[in-house]
Amino acid sequence: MNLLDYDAVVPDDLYLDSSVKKYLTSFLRDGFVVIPSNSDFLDKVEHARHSFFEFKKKQ
Amino acid sequence: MLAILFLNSKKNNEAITTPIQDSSGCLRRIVNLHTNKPAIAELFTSNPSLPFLDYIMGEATLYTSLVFEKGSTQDIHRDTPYFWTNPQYSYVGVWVALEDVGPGNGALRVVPGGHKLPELDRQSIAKKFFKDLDSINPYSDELWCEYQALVKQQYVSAGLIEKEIHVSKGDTIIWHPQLPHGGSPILDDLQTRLSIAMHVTPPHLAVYHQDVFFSNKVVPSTKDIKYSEINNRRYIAHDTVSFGHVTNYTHDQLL
Repeated sequence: MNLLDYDAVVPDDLYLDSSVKKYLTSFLRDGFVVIPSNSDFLDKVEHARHSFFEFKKKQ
Repeated sequence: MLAILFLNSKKNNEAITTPIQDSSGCLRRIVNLHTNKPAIAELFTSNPSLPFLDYIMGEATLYTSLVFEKGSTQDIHRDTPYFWTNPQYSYVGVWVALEDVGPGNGALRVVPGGHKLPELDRQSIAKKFFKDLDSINPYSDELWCEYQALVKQQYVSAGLIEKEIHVSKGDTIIWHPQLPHGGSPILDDLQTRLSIAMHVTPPHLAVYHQDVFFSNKVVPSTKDIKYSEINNRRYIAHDTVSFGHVTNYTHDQLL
Protein backbone atom coordinates (compact mmCIF):
# COMPACT_ATOMS: atom_id res chain seq x y z
CA MET A 1 0.00 0.00 0.00
CA ASN A 2 1.24 3.49 -0.86
CA LEU A 3 0.81 5.44 2.37
CA LEU A 4 0.86 8.66 0.36
CA ASP A 5 -2.09 7.73 -1.84
CA TYR A 6 -5.64 9.09 -1.46
CA ASP A 7 -7.17 6.06 0.16
CA ALA A 8 -4.29 5.23 2.50
CA VAL A 9 -5.21 4.16 6.02
CA VAL A 10 -3.11 3.48 9.09
CA PRO A 11 -1.96 -0.15 8.75
CA ASP A 12 -3.07 -2.71 11.28
CA ASP A 13 0.52 -3.36 12.30
CA LEU A 14 1.10 -4.69 15.80
CA TYR A 15 4.76 -3.77 15.61
CA LEU A 16 4.23 -0.20 14.44
CA ASP A 17 6.02 2.23 16.77
CA SER A 18 3.44 4.19 18.76
CA SER A 19 4.85 7.60 17.85
CA VAL A 20 5.01 6.70 14.16
CA LYS A 21 1.40 5.51 14.37
CA LYS A 22 0.35 8.78 16.03
CA TYR A 23 2.11 10.89 13.37
CA LEU A 24 0.75 8.75 10.55
CA THR A 25 -2.81 9.09 11.88
CA SER A 26 -2.55 12.90 11.85
CA PHE A 27 -0.79 12.96 8.50
CA LEU A 28 -3.37 10.82 6.74
CA ARG A 29 -6.29 12.70 8.30
CA ASP A 30 -5.07 16.28 7.91
CA GLY A 31 -2.42 16.07 5.20
CA PHE A 32 0.26 17.38 7.53
CA VAL A 33 1.80 16.66 10.90
CA VAL A 34 3.95 18.65 13.32
CA ILE A 35 6.79 16.64 14.84
CA PRO A 36 8.39 18.20 17.92
CA SER A 37 12.10 18.51 18.33
CA ASN A 38 14.06 16.20 20.58
CA SER A 39 16.86 17.30 22.87
CA ASP A 40 19.70 16.50 20.46
CA PHE A 41 18.05 18.20 17.53
CA LEU A 42 16.87 21.15 19.59
CA ASP A 43 20.41 21.70 20.84
CA LYS A 44 21.60 22.08 17.26
CA VAL A 45 18.79 24.41 16.31
CA GLU A 46 19.00 26.42 19.53
CA HIS A 47 22.71 26.85 19.03
CA ALA A 48 22.10 27.89 15.43
CA ARG A 49 19.51 30.46 16.46
CA HIS A 50 21.67 31.88 19.24
CA SER A 51 24.67 32.10 16.92
CA PHE A 52 22.55 33.72 14.24
CA PHE A 53 21.50 36.62 16.47
CA GLU A 54 24.90 37.01 18.16
CA PHE A 55 26.54 37.20 14.78
CA LYS A 56 23.91 39.62 13.52
CA LYS A 57 24.49 41.99 16.44
CA LYS A 58 28.11 42.37 15.37
CA GLN A 59 27.27 43.45 11.85
CA MET B 1 26.88 26.84 14.21
CA LEU B 2 24.34 26.49 11.41
CA ALA B 3 23.40 30.14 11.72
CA ILE B 4 27.06 31.18 11.54
CA LEU B 5 27.50 29.06 8.45
CA PHE B 6 24.42 30.66 6.93
CA LEU B 7 25.57 34.19 7.69
CA ASN B 8 29.15 33.50 6.66
CA SER B 9 27.83 32.24 3.36
CA LYS B 10 25.71 35.38 3.02
CA LYS B 11 28.62 37.70 3.90
CA ASN B 12 31.27 35.93 1.85
CA ASN B 13 29.06 35.94 -1.19
CA GLU B 14 27.86 39.50 -0.81
CA ALA B 15 28.46 40.36 -4.44
CA ILE B 16 26.26 37.47 -5.45
CA THR B 17 23.47 37.88 -2.93
CA THR B 18 23.04 41.66 -2.65
CA PRO B 19 20.86 42.05 -5.77
CA ILE B 20 18.24 39.63 -4.46
CA GLN B 21 18.10 40.79 -0.85
CA ASP B 22 14.83 42.41 0.16
CA SER B 23 14.46 45.89 1.63
CA SER B 24 15.38 44.63 5.11
CA GLY B 25 18.53 42.88 3.88
CA CYS B 26 17.10 39.39 4.09
CA LEU B 27 17.41 36.56 1.60
CA ARG B 28 14.10 34.94 0.77
CA ARG B 29 15.06 31.74 -1.02
CA ILE B 30 18.39 29.94 -1.22
CA VAL B 31 18.15 26.76 -3.27
CA ASN B 32 20.16 23.69 -2.24
CA LEU B 33 22.44 25.37 0.28
CA HIS B 34 22.54 21.95 1.97
CA THR B 35 24.90 20.80 -0.77
CA ASN B 36 27.41 23.53 0.09
CA LYS B 37 27.09 23.48 3.89
CA PRO B 38 26.97 19.99 5.45
CA ALA B 39 25.65 21.49 8.71
CA ILE B 40 22.55 22.59 6.80
CA ALA B 41 22.19 19.07 5.40
CA GLU B 42 22.19 17.78 8.97
CA LEU B 43 18.82 19.42 9.52
CA PHE B 44 17.65 16.52 7.37
CA THR B 45 20.11 13.79 8.27
CA SER B 46 19.50 14.20 12.02
CA ASN B 47 15.84 15.17 11.85
CA PRO B 48 13.60 13.50 14.46
CA SER B 49 10.96 12.83 11.82
CA LEU B 50 13.14 10.28 9.99
CA PRO B 51 11.58 7.15 11.56
CA PHE B 52 8.19 8.37 10.35
CA LEU B 53 9.51 9.32 6.91
CA ASP B 54 11.28 5.98 6.53
CA TYR B 55 8.08 4.18 7.47
CA ILE B 56 6.07 5.80 4.69
CA MET B 57 8.88 5.81 2.08
CA GLY B 58 11.10 2.86 2.85
CA GLU B 59 14.11 5.18 2.87
CA ALA B 60 13.75 8.96 2.91
CA THR B 61 16.37 10.92 0.94
CA LEU B 62 16.75 14.66 0.47
CA TYR B 63 16.02 15.79 -3.08
CA THR B 64 16.21 19.61 -2.89
CA SER B 65 15.97 22.34 -0.25
CA LEU B 66 15.09 26.00 0.20
CA VAL B 67 16.47 28.18 3.01
CA PHE B 68 14.36 31.21 3.90
CA GLU B 69 15.54 34.03 6.10
CA LYS B 70 11.99 35.38 6.18
CA GLY B 71 8.55 33.93 5.47
CA SER B 72 7.86 33.02 1.85
CA THR B 73 4.39 34.67 1.73
CA GLN B 74 3.72 32.29 -1.13
CA ASP B 75 0.10 31.89 -2.21
CA ILE B 76 -1.71 28.69 -1.23
CA HIS B 77 -0.69 25.93 -3.63
CA ARG B 78 -0.19 22.23 -4.10
CA ASP B 79 3.37 21.02 -4.75
CA THR B 80 2.42 18.23 -7.14
CA PRO B 81 2.79 20.14 -10.45
CA TYR B 82 6.50 20.63 -9.67
CA PHE B 83 7.08 17.40 -7.75
CA TRP B 84 5.33 14.76 -9.80
CA THR B 85 6.46 11.17 -9.41
CA ASN B 86 5.69 7.67 -10.61
CA PRO B 87 4.15 6.18 -8.51
CA GLN B 88 2.18 9.31 -7.74
CA TYR B 89 2.62 11.25 -4.51
CA SER B 90 5.98 9.65 -3.61
CA TYR B 91 7.18 12.92 -2.17
CA VAL B 92 6.67 14.97 0.99
CA GLY B 93 7.58 18.48 2.09
CA VAL B 94 9.62 18.66 5.30
CA TRP B 95 10.03 22.05 6.93
CA VAL B 96 12.13 22.94 9.98
CA ALA B 97 11.74 26.12 12.01
CA LEU B 98 15.04 27.64 13.14
CA GLU B 99 13.09 30.27 15.04
CA ASP B 100 9.71 30.34 16.77
CA VAL B 101 6.97 30.96 14.23
CA GLY B 102 3.80 32.74 15.28
CA PRO B 103 1.40 35.47 14.21
CA GLY B 104 3.07 38.01 11.97
CA ASN B 105 6.30 36.38 10.84
CA GLY B 106 4.97 34.36 7.94
CA ALA B 107 3.81 31.08 9.45
CA LEU B 108 3.02 28.14 7.23
CA ARG B 109 -0.66 28.16 6.24
CA VAL B 110 -2.40 24.89 5.36
CA VAL B 111 -5.83 23.59 4.40
CA PRO B 112 -6.38 20.53 6.62
CA GLY B 113 -7.98 17.71 4.67
CA GLY B 114 -7.31 19.41 1.34
CA HIS B 115 -5.08 16.54 0.23
CA LYS B 116 -8.09 14.22 0.06
CA LEU B 117 -10.07 16.28 -2.44
CA PRO B 118 -10.28 14.64 -5.88
CA GLU B 119 -7.65 15.61 -8.41
CA LEU B 120 -8.79 18.15 -11.00
CA ASP B 121 -8.97 17.41 -14.73
CA ARG B 122 -5.35 18.28 -15.43
CA GLN B 123 -5.44 17.71 -19.17
CA SER B 124 -8.42 20.02 -19.63
CA ILE B 125 -6.64 22.72 -17.65
CA ALA B 126 -3.50 22.33 -19.75
CA LYS B 127 -5.49 22.54 -23.02
CA LYS B 128 -6.53 26.09 -22.09
CA PHE B 129 -2.92 27.09 -22.66
CA PHE B 130 -1.35 24.38 -24.82
CA LYS B 131 -3.07 22.77 -27.82
CA ASP B 132 -0.66 19.87 -27.77
CA LEU B 133 -0.14 18.08 -24.46
CA ASP B 134 3.38 17.20 -25.61
CA SER B 135 4.30 20.89 -25.77
CA ILE B 136 3.48 21.91 -22.18
CA ASN B 137 6.05 24.28 -20.72
CA PRO B 138 7.26 22.58 -17.53
CA TYR B 139 7.70 26.01 -15.93
CA SER B 140 4.57 27.78 -17.21
CA ASP B 141 3.45 30.43 -14.70
CA GLU B 142 0.02 30.73 -16.34
CA LEU B 143 -0.64 27.03 -16.04
CA TRP B 144 0.58 26.98 -12.43
CA CYS B 145 -1.64 29.91 -11.44
CA GLU B 146 -4.71 28.50 -13.19
CA TYR B 147 -4.34 25.13 -11.49
CA GLN B 148 -3.77 26.64 -8.04
CA ALA B 149 -6.75 28.99 -8.47
CA LEU B 150 -8.96 25.98 -9.27
CA VAL B 151 -7.57 24.12 -6.25
CA LYS B 152 -8.60 27.09 -4.10
CA GLN B 153 -12.08 27.12 -5.62
CA GLN B 154 -12.34 23.42 -4.88
CA TYR B 155 -11.43 23.57 -1.20
CA VAL B 156 -13.52 26.68 -0.57
CA SER B 157 -16.51 24.96 -2.19
CA ALA B 158 -15.88 21.92 0.00
CA GLY B 159 -16.03 24.12 3.10
CA LEU B 160 -12.40 23.57 4.04
CA ILE B 161 -10.69 26.37 5.94
CA GLU B 162 -7.11 27.66 5.88
CA LYS B 163 -5.23 27.31 9.16
CA GLU B 164 -2.03 29.01 10.29
CA ILE B 165 0.48 26.69 11.97
CA HIS B 166 2.44 28.19 14.85
CA VAL B 167 5.45 26.18 15.94
CA SER B 168 8.51 26.41 18.15
CA LYS B 169 12.07 26.44 16.92
CA GLY B 170 13.22 22.94 16.12
CA ASP B 171 9.76 21.69 15.24
CA THR B 172 9.33 19.95 11.92
CA ILE B 173 6.22 20.12 9.75
CA ILE B 174 5.65 17.42 7.13
CA TRP B 175 3.02 17.83 4.44
CA HIS B 176 1.46 15.66 1.77
CA PRO B 177 2.22 16.71 -1.85
CA GLN B 178 -1.50 17.32 -2.46
CA LEU B 179 -1.98 19.47 0.64
CA PRO B 180 -2.80 23.08 -0.25
CA HIS B 181 -0.35 25.22 1.71
CA GLY B 182 1.48 28.54 1.55
CA GLY B 183 3.02 31.32 3.61
CA SER B 184 1.05 33.69 5.82
CA PRO B 185 1.53 37.45 5.45
CA ILE B 186 4.47 39.08 7.22
CA LEU B 187 2.89 41.76 9.39
CA ASP B 188 6.16 43.24 10.62
CA ASP B 189 8.78 43.48 7.88
CA LEU B 190 11.55 43.40 10.48
CA GLN B 191 10.54 39.94 11.72
CA THR B 192 12.65 37.09 10.40
CA ARG B 193 11.62 33.46 10.06
CA LEU B 194 14.81 31.50 9.47
CA SER B 195 13.77 28.08 8.24
CA ILE B 196 14.45 25.37 5.72
CA ALA B 197 11.99 23.59 3.45
CA MET B 198 13.19 20.21 2.23
CA HIS B 199 11.76 18.09 -0.54
CA VAL B 200 12.02 14.42 0.32
CA THR B 201 11.60 11.29 -1.81
CA PRO B 202 12.62 7.64 -1.79
CA PRO B 203 16.09 7.01 -3.28
CA HIS B 204 16.62 7.35 -7.03
CA LEU B 205 13.06 8.47 -7.66
CA ALA B 206 12.68 10.63 -10.75
CA VAL B 207 10.85 13.91 -10.07
CA TYR B 208 8.93 15.54 -12.92
CA HIS B 209 7.41 18.96 -13.48
CA GLN B 210 4.31 20.45 -15.06
CA ASP B 211 4.80 18.95 -18.54
CA VAL B 212 4.35 15.47 -17.08
CA PHE B 213 1.86 16.40 -14.34
CA PHE B 214 -0.62 17.99 -16.73
CA SER B 215 -0.21 15.58 -19.66
CA ASN B 216 -0.31 12.53 -17.39
CA LYS B 217 2.18 10.80 -19.70
CA VAL B 218 3.80 7.55 -18.61
CA VAL B 219 7.33 8.15 -17.37
CA PRO B 220 10.11 6.08 -15.80
CA SER B 221 9.97 5.78 -12.03
CA THR B 222 13.67 6.04 -11.31
CA LYS B 223 16.90 7.56 -12.55
CA ASP B 224 20.57 7.52 -11.60
CA ILE B 225 21.25 10.05 -8.85
CA LYS B 226 24.56 10.92 -7.18
CA TYR B 227 24.21 11.13 -3.40
CA SER B 228 26.30 12.44 -0.56
CA GLU B 229 25.85 10.98 2.90
CA ILE B 230 25.95 12.08 6.51
CA ASN B 231 25.15 9.73 9.41
CA ASN B 232 24.29 7.01 6.86
CA ARG B 233 21.56 9.25 5.44
CA ARG B 234 21.61 10.16 1.75
CA TYR B 235 21.01 13.55 0.18
CA ILE B 236 21.46 14.65 -3.42
CA ALA B 237 24.80 16.30 -4.11
CA HIS B 238 23.67 19.06 -6.44
CA ASP B 239 26.45 20.85 -8.33
CA THR B 240 25.08 24.34 -7.78
CA VAL B 241 23.40 26.66 -5.28
CA SER B 242 20.89 29.24 -6.48
CA PHE B 243 19.87 32.49 -4.82
CA GLY B 244 16.21 33.21 -5.53
CA HIS B 245 16.17 30.86 -8.54
CA VAL B 246 17.90 33.67 -10.46
CA THR B 247 21.34 32.28 -11.21
CA ASN B 248 23.12 29.07 -10.33
CA TYR B 249 26.53 29.19 -8.67
CA THR B 250 28.96 26.30 -8.48
CA HIS B 251 30.51 25.43 -5.15
CA ASP B 252 33.82 26.83 -6.43
CA GLN B 253 32.16 30.21 -7.00
CA LEU B 254 30.78 30.29 -3.46
CA LEU B 255 33.35 31.12 -0.79
